[in-house]
Amino acid sequence: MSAPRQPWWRRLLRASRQQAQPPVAESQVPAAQPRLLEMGDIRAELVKAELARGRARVSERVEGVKSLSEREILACGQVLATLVDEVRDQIDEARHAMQASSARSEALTSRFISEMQQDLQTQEAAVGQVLQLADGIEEAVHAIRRLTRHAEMLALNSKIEAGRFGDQGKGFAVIAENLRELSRTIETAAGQVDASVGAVREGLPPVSDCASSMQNRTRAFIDHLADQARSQGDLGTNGLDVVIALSNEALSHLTFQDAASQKLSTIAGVLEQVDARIERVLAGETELEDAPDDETDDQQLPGQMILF
Amino acid sequence: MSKTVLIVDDSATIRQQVSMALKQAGFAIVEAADGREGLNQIDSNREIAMVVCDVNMPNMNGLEMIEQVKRKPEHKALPILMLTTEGQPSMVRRAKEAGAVGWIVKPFDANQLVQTARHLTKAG
Repeated sequence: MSAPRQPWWRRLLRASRQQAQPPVAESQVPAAQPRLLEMGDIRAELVKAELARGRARVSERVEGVKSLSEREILACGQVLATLVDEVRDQIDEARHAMQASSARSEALTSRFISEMQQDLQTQEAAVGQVLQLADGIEEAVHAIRRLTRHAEMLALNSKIEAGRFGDQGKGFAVIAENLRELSRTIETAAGQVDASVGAVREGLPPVSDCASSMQNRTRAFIDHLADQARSQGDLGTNGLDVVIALSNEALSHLTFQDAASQKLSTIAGVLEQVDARIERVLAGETELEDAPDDETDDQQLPGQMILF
Repeated sequence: MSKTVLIVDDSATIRQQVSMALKQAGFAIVEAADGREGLNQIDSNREIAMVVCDVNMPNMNGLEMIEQVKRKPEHKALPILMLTTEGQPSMVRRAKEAGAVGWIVKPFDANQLVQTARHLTKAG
């Protein structure tokens, strides 16, 4: 197994020591100056080479991350946008279909109710006529009863008068008695008719109550259908809200990646600036402008927003 | 009628992300890839009710664009919101002095951006 690679500054020291052998004594420094200067140049070249290599590696990696991030971010963004559009279209379609279905149901049910109302009105009219007939029959029965009472009175009087004529009145008495019998028979029949008419009256259901009850039940059914359609519509809307919330969350992850990628570019830029400044130092410049104050402590943080 | 927002950013991904967030909220979107394009859009499109603008862009950066836009009286009231990775107070100050209405440091929160856009375009 090969030994781990030494850090660059150790390699630099080793190289400079190798160049400086044998070691230079203090008294020999002036004479050794060219060699020391040469050592300084070598160090400087080594430093420059290491910096350049390091910067190139960082830049390469930054570019790699950036291009990968951009491709991924664009692809994810497109997928998300398509997904949200498709879901929204499907939900709109479902909502329209439900509304159309609900409208059709409502129209059909309204027509049904209207036809039912007409039928009930016809029945009501028929029942009214029956009741009127019943009234007519009752009046007729009352008239018959009055007549039978008169006939009975007449029969009674006839019998009394027949009694005054003795045997000659016997035939007349029989007739009177027969008349009385007839009156009672008619009275009994009238009573039966009266009873039947009363039964018919009581047996007729209140038509208006039936109509009202059926109407209420049908309306309740329509309202139930409308509620169901609304609930399904709400479900669709809630589903869309969930998808939008998810896509917003994914969006925030994508923007974070994008921001990170831009920060990497900034780092690469800073390294280039550092490299350029070191080049100038190694080239012998002694007066460099101060690096701009980076105001690190006062910087706005990622995600922060201020309105002026 | 939906309000129109101009997005000015050299990053296609940022334009896509901001566009998606605002379109879902009912805004219409137009885009520009740098400050110069942004300036041309603002001058030619009277429907633009708000601008979301990056700072670091080629050709013309965001701060320069704002300064040019606000020189024209017809654009004095146009709200311009900065959306950038930068957070240095000196830049924020410069944007404010140039006439920007706000500053957001990326990554942005989509809901916050939508609410701010609704607020700024309603006031306009």
